[in-house]
Amino acid sequence: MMDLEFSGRTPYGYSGDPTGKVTIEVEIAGVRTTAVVDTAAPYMICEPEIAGQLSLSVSESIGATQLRTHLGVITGHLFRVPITLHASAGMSVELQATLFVPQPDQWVDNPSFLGFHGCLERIRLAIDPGADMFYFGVF
Amino acid sequence: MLAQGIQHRRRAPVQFVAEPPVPCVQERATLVAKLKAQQASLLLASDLTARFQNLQPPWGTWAGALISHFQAQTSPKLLFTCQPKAPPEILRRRRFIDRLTALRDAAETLDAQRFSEICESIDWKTRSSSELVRAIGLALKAGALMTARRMVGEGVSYHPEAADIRKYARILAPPELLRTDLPADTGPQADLAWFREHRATHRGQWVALRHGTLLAEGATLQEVLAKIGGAKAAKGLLLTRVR
Repeated sequence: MMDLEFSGRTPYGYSGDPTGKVTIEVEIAGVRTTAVVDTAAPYMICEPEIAGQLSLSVSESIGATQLRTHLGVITGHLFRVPITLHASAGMSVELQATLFVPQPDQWVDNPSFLGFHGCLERIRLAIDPGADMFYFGVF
Repeated sequence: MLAQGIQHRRRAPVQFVAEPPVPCVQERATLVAKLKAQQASLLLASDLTARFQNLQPPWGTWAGALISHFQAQTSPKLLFTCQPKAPPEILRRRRFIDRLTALRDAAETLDAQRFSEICESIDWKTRSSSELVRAIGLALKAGALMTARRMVGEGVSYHPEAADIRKYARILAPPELLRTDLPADTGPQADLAWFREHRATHRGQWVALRHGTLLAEGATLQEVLAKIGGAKAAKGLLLTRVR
């Protein structure tokens, strides 16, 4: 047995996506929404409709930059924003992370993603498929 | 004005005098291909390319003149040497531009590994902040996030006054923990229960939920926000599309 500490946990999977994506509830700069956990993705990718509610200024971004995704190469802007992982049990965690906002016409009907580098890389995380729980903690 | 000498076995050196534009890898490759097409007996292509790195004529004129020179020969068996005349600073500049071209190519082909290798060969301490920013942008395009982050670190140390470098450093920095003492929230659990029960009948709709209670739905997020009284009223609500 290994002893790893987690500060919080939250249920996942309520998107009902038939592909079985691990989707959890997150808060991006004060706006609560859902995001798919994807450790293969860099940054947090925010769907443009939600990004429109974040009061982001392009002048504060790195842009326009490009990101290779499963949809191809997507153009967008990079921002720095606070992101909160809400725990249903334990403690929630807030971190300052890198956010990629795609051009709206290139990210149609696609969800937000919680990527690894720039976002989850400072979080210890684990998934319990038996309970559909996403565990997270700081180290 | 720079003079380039080309020597072969039986004839006097041919002089080409020209201003130096900036040759790049592709131009040299094109020139080599043209020379091969003329069936001139060349040095090995790699050797020729290496020699061309030290030349500074306008390539179009120079290449044309060189090809004409070969065409005029009765014997295809020619050897030539090219003497570098450019000042070291110009040569360094040209080498950097070649590497920048290679970086751009690696970014275009999304070859993060190649991009990283080329970056390692460049002494960024001698480059300007704008050159660094340009290269960091290419690193992001190549998908070489860690390389971009490393370059930003170098940029900050070499150009601490550069605002654009500082912006890159702030945005691309590793995540920073802000708070770890926020209380638990029963919202996600209740929202999950709502999705399990109502997902099929609301699929494709934007919804606003509070602790598992549907407050509004619509075809667009704007429509949902209008129903609940605007963006300010959405504070704390879950806003998402049912998928």
